[in-house]
Amino acid sequence: MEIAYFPGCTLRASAIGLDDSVRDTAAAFGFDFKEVPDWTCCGATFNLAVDNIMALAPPIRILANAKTVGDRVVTVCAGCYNVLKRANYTVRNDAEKRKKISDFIEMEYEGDVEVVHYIEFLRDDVGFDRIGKELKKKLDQVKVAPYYGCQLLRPEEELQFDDAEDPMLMDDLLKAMGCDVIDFPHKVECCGAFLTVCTDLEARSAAKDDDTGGAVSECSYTILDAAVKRGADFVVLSCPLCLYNLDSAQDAIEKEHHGFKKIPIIYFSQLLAVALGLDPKKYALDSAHHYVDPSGVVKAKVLS
Amino acid sequence: MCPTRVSLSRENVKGDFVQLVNEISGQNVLNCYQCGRCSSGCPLTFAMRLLPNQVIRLVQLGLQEEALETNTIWVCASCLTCHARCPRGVDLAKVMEALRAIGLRPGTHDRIKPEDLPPETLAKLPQQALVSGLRKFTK
Repeated sequence: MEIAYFPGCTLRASAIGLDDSVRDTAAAFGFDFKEVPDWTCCGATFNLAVDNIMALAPPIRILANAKTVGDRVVTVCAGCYNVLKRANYTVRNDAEKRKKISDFIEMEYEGDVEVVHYIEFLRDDVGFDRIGKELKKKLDQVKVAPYYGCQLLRPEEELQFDDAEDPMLMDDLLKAMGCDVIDFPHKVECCGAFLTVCTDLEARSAAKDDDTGGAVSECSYTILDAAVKRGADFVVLSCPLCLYNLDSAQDAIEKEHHGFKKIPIIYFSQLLAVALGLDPKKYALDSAHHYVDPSGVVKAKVLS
Repeated sequence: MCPTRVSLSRENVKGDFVQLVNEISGQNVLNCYQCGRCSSGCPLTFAMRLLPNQVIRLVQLGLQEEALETNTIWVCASCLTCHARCPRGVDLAKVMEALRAIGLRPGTHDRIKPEDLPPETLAKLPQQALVSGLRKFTK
């Protein structure tokens, strides 16, 4: 049976390096993902108002379309994973909502597609042992801080990705890749997420009166400082929103906190692609796609 | 910064507000026994005027105006750390979402307007940030 793949809105735009590296690494391991037909944005954030059924329509429609491909859909953006998996959980456990959404989107869907994160796919279908054997580059000089954030992990009872307080799945992948993985106490702490839209607001907005605008750089500082102080070369993650926040906040952090040392933020799959010997120029590891250019460290630590 | 004085009344405590928050959030806010574990783990309290457990207390007391006017409900990033740690199983992120919804649903109080975002900000924000931000801050 074929494996469906849901990229999500950001991956076809600003996170193109994430999308391309996932497709190419899967192909390198012999898997041919088939894009979910007729896909749309999943909604980007799972609506937490339990009376808002409308917000479930896009992710359920995506899952119903994925079912035409196969019984599993692989996704990699942490936001998409969270929204699809929680929407799936909701229709599996709530017959009334299931019926309402099915009637609205005019597609029958029972919650029977399995939502799989690409890291889970690498563990279960490729196997971490095999990944370690097939790498073309040695990564033992690369010190990485795996950052999970929120959306991969919480709520744990619905997502079942890993322990919500002390996840090890990305650590295990990076160790299998031969990286020097640092123990990193802020790996599950929030980066400020969508509060980033308030950062540059014009003065007339209501949100400007609060402290919402500076929240992302403060959150990011706490996370990044912990990684830098432990000697990390990169922070590695799987969420385009986390990447944007942790990456773009560093100019503001540098002004606010003297002595702060900048650190490049990359996707785990970009590192995997380069380590597999794929062309590093293809995966947006450059200053056009990052505020803190990762290319120097990639060249020095991975390609040398 | 706490409200220095609130006025308690039987009408407020037994009023529709607690019921409405419970309905939209799917939670029972009266389950919270104010241990404060949510606030001790929240990564965003530095920007909040009231701690998360204090907002829950306002809701428990039926104080709608006080609960809706704190910036806490807008600073909450729905990271769910509080929910993961709550010994009473209260999903505070859902309570915060319900409070935002009560403020936003009349349609007259959008927290941000897309036209207030400078064009260069719109150009650089990832799609995921714009979609989730506008869903959280507007009707």
